[in-house]
Amino acid sequence: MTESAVESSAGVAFGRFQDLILRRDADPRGVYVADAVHEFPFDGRVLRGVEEIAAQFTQGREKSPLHWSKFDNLVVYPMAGGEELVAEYDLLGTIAGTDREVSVRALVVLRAADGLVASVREYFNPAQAKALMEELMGERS
Amino acid sequence: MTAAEVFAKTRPLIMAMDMPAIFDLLADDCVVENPYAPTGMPARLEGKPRVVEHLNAQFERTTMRFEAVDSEVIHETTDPNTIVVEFDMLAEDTRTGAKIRRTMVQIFRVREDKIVLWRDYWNPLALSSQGSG
Repeated sequence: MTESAVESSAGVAFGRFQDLILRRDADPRGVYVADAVHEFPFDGRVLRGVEEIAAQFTQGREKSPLHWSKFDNLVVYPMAGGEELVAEYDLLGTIAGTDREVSVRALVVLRAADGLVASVREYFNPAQAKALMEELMGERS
Repeated sequence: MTAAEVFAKTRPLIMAMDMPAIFDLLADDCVVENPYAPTGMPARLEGKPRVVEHLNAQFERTTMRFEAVDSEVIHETTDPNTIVVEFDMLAEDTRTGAKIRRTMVQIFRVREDKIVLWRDYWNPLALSSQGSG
């Protein structure tokens, strides 16, 4: 990440977003603005407002045995003005109770307001997500 | 030319599938990547000859006809040589007549008016459900 991205509002917001993904006890209410929008363009889901986003995180953390540990191969593209950035990365994690490691390639388009996330468009591979979900369901059954 | 300018030049060529004109815009050491490519499709192509070979083969067999671009947002980064573009490609499958909307996000980098990186994220599940191309 470039120094300017770290210091920019978008850089600060993205740092908070990363922390939220990696720390299962982190609260989305300190990361997103109240009327934030989190979209997943490849599967059409749209979460509106920090409460809906927080509920999604809570549900995911309760149900998913995936524990994310690192944003690897991170490349950040800052935008002029400092309120927007694009980031590409491999999100690394493990499945709790196993040695199984997972790597998910993702791209986010993030817009910030005063260091908080105002909107995120999160792109990931739905084919990989589907396969992973089936694997996790299989392990639980 | 900036990346945005080269992209603006490239877009109508893509819509028209004007392959020779597109190839003229590729740097000799260009890289084309499809990070979410399904099995059987290369995730990375290095060098203009490989890219030309692959794109020619792809466009020869495709049944897609591009019709329009919707919801396009061009993100100009602090590096004028790099942009990120989000858009939906609207197309028709000429074999079935089905109308297709494919959401895409691309990283586009240029050097000396030529494309050096074209990284293309799209949903492989949509590809399998909507036909080839």
